[in-house]
Amino acid sequence: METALLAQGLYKRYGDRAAVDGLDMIVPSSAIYGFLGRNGAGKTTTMRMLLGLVRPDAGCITMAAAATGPARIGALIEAPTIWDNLTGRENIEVTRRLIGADRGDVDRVLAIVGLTWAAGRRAGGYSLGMRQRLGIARALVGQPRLLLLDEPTNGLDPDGIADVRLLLARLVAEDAVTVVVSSHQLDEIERVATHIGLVAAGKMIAEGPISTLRAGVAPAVQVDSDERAAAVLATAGLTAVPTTGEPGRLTVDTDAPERVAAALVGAGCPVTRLVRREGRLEHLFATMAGTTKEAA
Amino acid sequence: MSVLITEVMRLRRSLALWLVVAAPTSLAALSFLILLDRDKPVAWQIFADGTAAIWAYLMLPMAVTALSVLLAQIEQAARGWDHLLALPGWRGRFFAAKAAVLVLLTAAMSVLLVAGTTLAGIAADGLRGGIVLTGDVPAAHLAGLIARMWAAGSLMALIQLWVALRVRSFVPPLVLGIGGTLIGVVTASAKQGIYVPWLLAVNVLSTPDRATTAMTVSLLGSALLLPAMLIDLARIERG
Repeated sequence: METALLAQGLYKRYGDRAAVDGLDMIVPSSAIYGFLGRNGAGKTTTMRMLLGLVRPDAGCITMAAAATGPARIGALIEAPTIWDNLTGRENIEVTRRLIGADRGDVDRVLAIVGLTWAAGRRAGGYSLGMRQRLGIARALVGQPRLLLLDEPTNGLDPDGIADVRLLLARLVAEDAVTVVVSSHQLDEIERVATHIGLVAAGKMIAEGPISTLRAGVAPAVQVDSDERAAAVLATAGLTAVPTTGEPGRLTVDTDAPERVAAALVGAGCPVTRLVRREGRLEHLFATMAGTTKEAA
Repeated sequence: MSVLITEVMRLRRSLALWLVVAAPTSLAALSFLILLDRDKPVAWQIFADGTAAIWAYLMLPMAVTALSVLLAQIEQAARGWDHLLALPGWRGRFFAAKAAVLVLLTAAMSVLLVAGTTLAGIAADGLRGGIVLTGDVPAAHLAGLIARMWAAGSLMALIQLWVALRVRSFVPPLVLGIGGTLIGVVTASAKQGIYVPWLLAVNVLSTPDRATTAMTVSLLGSALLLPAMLIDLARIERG
């Protein structure tokens, strides 16, 4: 598979702290590459280096997209660039003129992000979600071959997030665009990415096709029961931990739901929900990031 | 050229355009009120030179300070640099466009001042029955004077713009502009005043030698400063 973006040994230090520490990155063409990590992991600094906004102290970056086609990369870094005194259309027109794209591109990208209806309004009056959409529209001007999107779903409502997922999938399927999308929301990106790069403490801790990475993560069972459940499962030799962000739910380290059910029902604990979950990147990330932390 | 066009586009509905109109017209309005209140007649040329002096001492440096800050803050507030500097091509072109727009807007202020001062004089004199101003309207003299002040103020404008673009905050360029204006007022009659960038426009009103020196210092200084500014700003990281 052709490579759209290759970064080798990227290193950037601020003061005595390495924000990015020898990071390697391989993004195949026509992939949706989820660049994932917690806040402060080095994602935005890496994205800024990829765009040339920040100079790496060491390492090199090669982009196939820069040498071919319209020679342009579309980008949305952190908060979108928006001139509040201009209308939505004027905002996009500035970018269109600067990169020499077709006149029709302004209406095209506004339609893609669903902002045609507000194109004549001053951007200063846009909501957070509308601003994010306008930022994505700006990144799409000139039909770039490579899109770098840093937390593009920030401020979007659930419908907006779903729209962005569909948009990314459509861009890859119809226009063979390569997308690098950074996020700290692993679940969100897991649904759309074809490839994943997990970053922690400025280092790439895992990278590859999502199917390969998922294969390395053990499945688990989630169960809803009462407060005795964890202790009961422990006596049955099963490790159960509270599920993050889901009160009253336990994640059990096994791929055999029947063992969980038998142990709980046998002890008289009610089972109101029992689900076998496939391996999640969240588990891989928690394991690998923990390992990296210990090593550091 | 598209960089310059988009730079002008981004001024739409901005405070910068209001300032371009407000600074010269407020001075013209002040001159008008002074004339209305005047008891004794005054020569047109003295009236014009007096207005130009206030412009050179105070309004020009303060307006240039505010204008350069507003031009820089258009990008700072919009996170414009994140987008502009990620585009392919030489980054310095965006800063060169800012400098060009500042020069053009200062020129527009100068034109408005000449027109405003002339209209203010004619209107006040008319309202007072033609007894306030004597002699012919020195339109060419005033236009030449303000144009020379514009040229002599270019070095100050470039310094102000460099600082405004260099730092994220608007405070340092404002402090520099206010401080520079005050230093200009204090050192106006000093020999060293000929080299103070904020005072070069004032020197246009002085002896022909001093006026020529001020213009030369400003234009030569600008020619040397501009490439240094572009190289420096193009190298800045936007982290």
